[in-house]
Amino acid sequence: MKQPSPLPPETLEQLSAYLDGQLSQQEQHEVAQRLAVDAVWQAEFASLQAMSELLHELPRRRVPRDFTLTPTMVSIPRFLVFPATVPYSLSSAVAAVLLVALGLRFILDGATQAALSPASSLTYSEAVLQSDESVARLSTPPASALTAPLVADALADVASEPEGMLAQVAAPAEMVTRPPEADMARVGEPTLMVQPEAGASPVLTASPFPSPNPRHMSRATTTITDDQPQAALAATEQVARWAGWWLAWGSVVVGIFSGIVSVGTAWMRLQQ
Amino acid sequence: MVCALARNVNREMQTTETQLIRQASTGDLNAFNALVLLHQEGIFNLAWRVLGEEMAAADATQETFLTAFRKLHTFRGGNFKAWLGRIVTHICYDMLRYQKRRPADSIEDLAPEDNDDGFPLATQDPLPEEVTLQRELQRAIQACINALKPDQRVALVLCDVESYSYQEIANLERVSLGTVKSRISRARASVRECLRGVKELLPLSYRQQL
Repeated sequence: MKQPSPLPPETLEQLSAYLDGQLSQQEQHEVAQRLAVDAVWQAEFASLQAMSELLHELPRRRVPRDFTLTPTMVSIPRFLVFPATVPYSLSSAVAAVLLVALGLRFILDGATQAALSPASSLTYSEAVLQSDESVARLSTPPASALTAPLVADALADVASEPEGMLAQVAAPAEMVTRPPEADMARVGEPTLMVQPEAGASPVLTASPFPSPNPRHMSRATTTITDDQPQAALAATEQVARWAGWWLAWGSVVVGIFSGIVSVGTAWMRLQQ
Repeated sequence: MVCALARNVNREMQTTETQLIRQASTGDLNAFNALVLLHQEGIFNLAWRVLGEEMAAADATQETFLTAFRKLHTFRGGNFKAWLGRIVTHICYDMLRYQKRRPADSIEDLAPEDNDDGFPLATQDPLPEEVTLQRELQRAIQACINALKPDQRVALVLCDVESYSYQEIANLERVSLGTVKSRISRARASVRECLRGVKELLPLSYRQQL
């Protein structure tokens, strides 16, 4: 059954120190004065005193055997006597160093890529959009030749003269990039998408073959046609970048801290 | 007169101890074993009260003297008992941490009761029920000590059982005097509350005060 003390811990601490004569003269005097008049303090002090005496009277136990050392005992290497502590601490230190190295590598890689990239100030979606737009520009015939009324004619020409159209349209694209073999089979199927949205000028994306990286095409299409604002995508990337940054620096800081603690622990064990 | 005699004996013992330490630090195992015989009871009892198990305490004591022999060259003079106390408390902390990670029943707890528990008998022929009661009280007190946090347990045992001063405990644990004061106070408060739960085992005088 618990009977919490009626006095606050600070007062109990004072009484406990008073019991052991560990207060300054001034404090000793103050406590003595209070004890003389305060019944609660008296009861608490008597209780602490009784308990301390009880512990002090605990019996001494006889040693179960002699602990004298033999030449064999002192010749055993230290690491066999207490095998786990030091090697464990040192292995923790090594793990911490690896953690720091890993974090620094991510940070330095990120810094290097940012320095090398011409569009380092852009978000990923902006960079992808720019690259896709440039691909679309290069792989598309001049806009003046691809006005909306001419699209139907162009399609008809492609259907009737596929080889000619292929040669005509694919030529500029080859200067940009070379599609994979699998995509080459589909080169003859030019992709034309007209977006006759009401109130907006028709947007035309023309490509003689699908983009070598389907992600680029789909992303560019999404960017142009989707109602979702680009800001959401940019924000997501920003969050991901911040998370990566914090993870990398976090691993460095935690690694340094763990390393110091581990080496310190091993050193202290060896000092014992 | 008595005080002067006691001081002389104490000084002689210290001189002897200093000589033994000097000899032991050169690798003299016999000299070191003489030191072991001087301090083994104190170290074992300290470990026993902190760890609460005889076998673990014996292991800790043996490890303490082995470590002390190996590290004797780092002893810079002063209180050899306190130096040993620092080693044994560190070892006890390690063992408590290990026990916390891998809790297990002690063989002592499973074994039948030991008749020789070292309890000082007030009379030559105590009544059997008195012996039983005293033994139960010992167990209850030890259980209350075992329930403390390791740092509070060490501080309480060093102060109230082994009669170390606050300053010695602070040096031994490498903490401030304020920390020692706080640990001892909290430990006493906890043990007192714990003992109030087994008041019927306490001697009448303590029962009334506690």
